[in-house]
Amino acid sequence: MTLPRLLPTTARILLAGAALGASLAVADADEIKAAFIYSGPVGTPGWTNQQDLGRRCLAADGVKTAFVDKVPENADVLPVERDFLGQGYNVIFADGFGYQPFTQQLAKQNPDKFFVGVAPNIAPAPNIVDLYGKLWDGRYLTGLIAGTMTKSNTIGFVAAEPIPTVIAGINAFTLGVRAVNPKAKIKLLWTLSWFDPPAEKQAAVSLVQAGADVVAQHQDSPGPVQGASSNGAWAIGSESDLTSFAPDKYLTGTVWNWCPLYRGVIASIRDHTFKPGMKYGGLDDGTVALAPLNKAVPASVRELIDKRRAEIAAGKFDYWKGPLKDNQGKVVVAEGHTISGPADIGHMNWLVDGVVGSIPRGK
Amino acid sequence: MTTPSRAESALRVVIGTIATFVIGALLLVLTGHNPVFAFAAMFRGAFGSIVAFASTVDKAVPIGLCAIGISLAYRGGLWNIGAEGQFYFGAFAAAGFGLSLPENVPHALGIAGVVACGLAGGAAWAAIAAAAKVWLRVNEVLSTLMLNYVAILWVDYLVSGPWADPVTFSFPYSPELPDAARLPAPIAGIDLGAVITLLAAAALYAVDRGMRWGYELRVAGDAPRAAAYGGIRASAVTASALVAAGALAGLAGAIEVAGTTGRLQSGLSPGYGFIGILVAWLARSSPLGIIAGSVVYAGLLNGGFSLQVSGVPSAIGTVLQAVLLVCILTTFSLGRYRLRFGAAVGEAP
Repeated sequence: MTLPRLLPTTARILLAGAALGASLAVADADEIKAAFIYSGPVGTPGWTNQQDLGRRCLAADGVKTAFVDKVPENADVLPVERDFLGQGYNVIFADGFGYQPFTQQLAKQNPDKFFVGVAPNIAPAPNIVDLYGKLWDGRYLTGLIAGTMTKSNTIGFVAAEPIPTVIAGINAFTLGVRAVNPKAKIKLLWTLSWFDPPAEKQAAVSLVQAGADVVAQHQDSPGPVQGASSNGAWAIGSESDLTSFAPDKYLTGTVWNWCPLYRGVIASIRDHTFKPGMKYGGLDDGTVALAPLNKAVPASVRELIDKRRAEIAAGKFDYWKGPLKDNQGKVVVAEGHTISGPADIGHMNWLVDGVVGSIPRGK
Repeated sequence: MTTPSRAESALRVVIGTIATFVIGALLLVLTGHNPVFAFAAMFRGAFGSIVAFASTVDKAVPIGLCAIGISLAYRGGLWNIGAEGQFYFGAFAAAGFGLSLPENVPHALGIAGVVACGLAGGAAWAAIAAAAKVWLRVNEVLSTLMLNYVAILWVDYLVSGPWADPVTFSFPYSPELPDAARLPAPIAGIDLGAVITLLAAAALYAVDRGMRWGYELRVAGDAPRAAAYGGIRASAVTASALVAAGALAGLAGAIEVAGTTGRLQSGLSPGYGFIGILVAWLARSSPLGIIAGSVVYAGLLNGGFSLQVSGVPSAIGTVLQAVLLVCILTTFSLGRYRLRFGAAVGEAP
């Protein structure tokens, strides 16, 4: 590196130092400083990146934020949270489900600080709120598209880990598909990993080879979109807008938008109305959204989606309404009953009629 | 090659550390970060306060125990690449004991059981590789490495199946261990693991200095045929060292579940068994060096997170760890050579 190129760098460092000094000088004791801890990498599409977009949304509102990414969901999160607390951060967003037991330890030791995690809540404290979205509602809408677009009546689904929220998404997707196409089957493959791009891609390829002409996913990587699209099938993504990975074959996908929930937490701390426990966003507040629809999606389906989205958001349409059978023929939601929100979803351990596949590890 | 004196070793570590700072500072400047801020942030995260120091010690414990075991096996000429798996198997055994404890068990009994099960679990896992070595002449590098994956997957299976906590919504956790099976953390949040690690280092020192078994182990490792001539059963002695190494790694796993996480979970270790190999090398297998090396390495890991807290990308922290490793190993390697000035090329010595 030549001297002329070094000089601007040095100048920037000095400026940054001056800016830091200035910000310390005006720091207010009650100022909110929000720290974010992520399990995955920032900058590539997926779960973590959407959370970081939420952080940036707060930063744009003027909240002071910082983040650390790629923190394993084990005791490693403790020193990170402690360091943030030591640096004066008073709201810790520990954005991985597996951080909860460790966050709880620190929340009890720091009752005057606030902690935000990922629901469902397994390690509560009076200063912890856990957030999630009713992702399944978004999956139902993408199911409507998949059911319309399939010609072979075989739709693939690449799923990560067999936990209730994933299972609920598969079931909601299937109910969406069958609402417009009762003959369609959903072939389900598990990768048993949140992030394993080659395995996810290969799972999509094998689903296409088995006759699927639409492949949906609950995975963190664009692997299934790439695997499906490169073999001529339509793709439905998850977590982030994945249009750029297959502009022609990407139909749409659920997209996380944490901005409304994050803003709500910060506002509740500011006006002293913070409530511990769990908070679920959804289609109503935009926490769960759909990526822009492919132009191949017919206008009639677009209208149906807009209609259903508005109805679900307003609580006027319930696709979980009984009678529902699982794929073994057993009635799981009786006539006149339904699935009442996240509490029921948290125990979902069956696959709805229409899914070809099973839940591994028999839980 | 002669073993460097303590002063020489210290000098090389100092030179290596200075080189790390210089190269690290250069990297930081090149990427547009202020090296003074960055190093200060790392130091803050690693040793900057009592809680930070306690976090670092907690992390140094598993690294140190694994490294002591690896060094012990290396005394006998064996490469234990399996500390990670032995860690998991020790954690499994300790958690199994803790989870099956009846109520109202005395705390001392609970802790003794957890420690004993950790030792036994790690030893049992290493014994597979040791037995294969003795009777089937299976290379221990391969067998210990492969057994890592088996142990990790075994724990994954348990915590997402038979031992899964029913209230964690299928997140791979076991239920919490009862209080009787938890290690107390008497001083500033530093648990008993720190004391156990120091004892293990002292034991390694004793093996080197006083014990007959240590002498036999070194002879068996350096010159198996001479050992046989001297009446030492080389394969049995080295195999016992591998089993002891496994016991120490298993103990580290037990301390992790009983002291830090309080339960068995998947992803329990961020690679302590592999970091232990690095530290054993950095420390050149000396007990004191391992203690120092594991604290420094744990500090680098914790400090690396603090770099990010201060806005420096995580990759820089990883690069600094690698730079330290390369610099220290380089100074030790180059320390074997003597620079001579003035002698012409090709001149007879």
